[in-house]
Amino acid sequence: MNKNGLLYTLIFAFVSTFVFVVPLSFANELTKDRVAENAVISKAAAVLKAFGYTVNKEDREGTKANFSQVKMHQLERLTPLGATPGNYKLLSADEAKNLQLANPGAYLEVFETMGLDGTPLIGKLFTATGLWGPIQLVLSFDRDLTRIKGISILAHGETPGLGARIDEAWYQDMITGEGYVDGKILLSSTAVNRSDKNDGKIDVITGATRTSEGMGTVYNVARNEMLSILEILQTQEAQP
Amino acid sequence: MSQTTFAGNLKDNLWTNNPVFVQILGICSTLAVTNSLINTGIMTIALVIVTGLSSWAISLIRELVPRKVRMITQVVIISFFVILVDIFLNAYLPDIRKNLAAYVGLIITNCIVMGRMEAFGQQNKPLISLWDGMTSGLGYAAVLLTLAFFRELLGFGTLFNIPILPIYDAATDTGWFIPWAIMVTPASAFFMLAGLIWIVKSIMNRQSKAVIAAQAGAAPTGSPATTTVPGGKK
Repeated sequence: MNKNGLLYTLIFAFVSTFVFVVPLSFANELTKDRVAENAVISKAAAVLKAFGYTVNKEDREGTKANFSQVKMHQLERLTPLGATPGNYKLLSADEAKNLQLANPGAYLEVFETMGLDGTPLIGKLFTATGLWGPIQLVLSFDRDLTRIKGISILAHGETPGLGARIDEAWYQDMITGEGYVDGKILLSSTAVNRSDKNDGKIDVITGATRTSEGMGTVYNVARNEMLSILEILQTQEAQP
Repeated sequence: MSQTTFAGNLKDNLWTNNPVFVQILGICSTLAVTNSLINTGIMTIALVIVTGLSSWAISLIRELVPRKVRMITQVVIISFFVILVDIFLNAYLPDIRKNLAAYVGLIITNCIVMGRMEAFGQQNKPLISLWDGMTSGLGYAAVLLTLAFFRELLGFGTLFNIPILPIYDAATDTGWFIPWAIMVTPASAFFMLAGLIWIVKSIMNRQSKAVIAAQAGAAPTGSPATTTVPGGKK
């Protein structure tokens, strides 16, 4: 057969594509359970870290066991806008499963556990707007929503050394324990005493203004959302 | 390709014909990932594997590939190995994959991989093609790791995330090193790569002058190598 003829070229294209694509399908199939488990462990580790617990992600079973101690509420956000109590609905396990399939964007998980100091904490996954895309983070609060008790970054695409410094210990130490003043935490462009947890002020990251602003916004939006969600949870708790 | 022995090929790809500082290939990733030694290390290991195996694979089927679809075949082969590496990282090293983000996928577009397949793998036997691909990857790795060493050290004060230089903390008045913010951004890699090319080219020029001088000294008087005519022309 003529190697440069049309028929040979077509057969060659089909066969070579098949030969290279089939092993990829097998590799994907073989690893898909582990990839799904990685996502669960990453989320579990982020939630536990935001609640102040030390996490070793290499200890996969230990991380899963610790996460199973955290109480989880499943909710539906009825409309995309507006953090009002009427905009959220508590779901049963079956309703939650159906919603995750039908409309995953409306599905929310809220976590509750005791902090290391014995105070009840509440936390949730939030999304901030970063310079290079969404930043997924877990924030935990005291039940009165007077303070952020912990922060953990689940995923981001920020510049290493600039915006990505939100994932560094000094930044997260600055946020952890910070109290709201008049219901707000403000970004300060001038020097801030990072150890003062009662002034409601946090520092921006030098060279990462947009990332800092996105994070500064999410701390306040998150509190408003948690206020509405807590109202729903408290109503449920009050029921006999 | 001046030499086709394994040792000659290694020297060629690491120094004489280095893909980064001689051929100026793979510059996008050179600028993007070299602010962290760990990320650079993983990225370059992935590239060594992909370049080697891609050259080996194209060499295996070189007699079967129709000339007019050879480049698209090369892209399919490169994509196959890159996606395989990506699946492995996603399953077993998810944190590293998260840090490397899009750059693993971008190995597909790295000119070094396709360049070696087209220039070498398509014309040579599988084993030497595998070697050529891997040594080309090593030449790339050597340059990137050199840049990453200085960028991470001066940009973060760390090496492989291990603190090396004590960073100045105004609150406690400890440490003395103030990280160079520019070292973290891709712009610094432009300057550093230019500096590295300057140094390497100077050394190469000195070496070639020394070789010419040695040849001239060894040649018998009056031979063509040493005979000059007025005006400096032979």
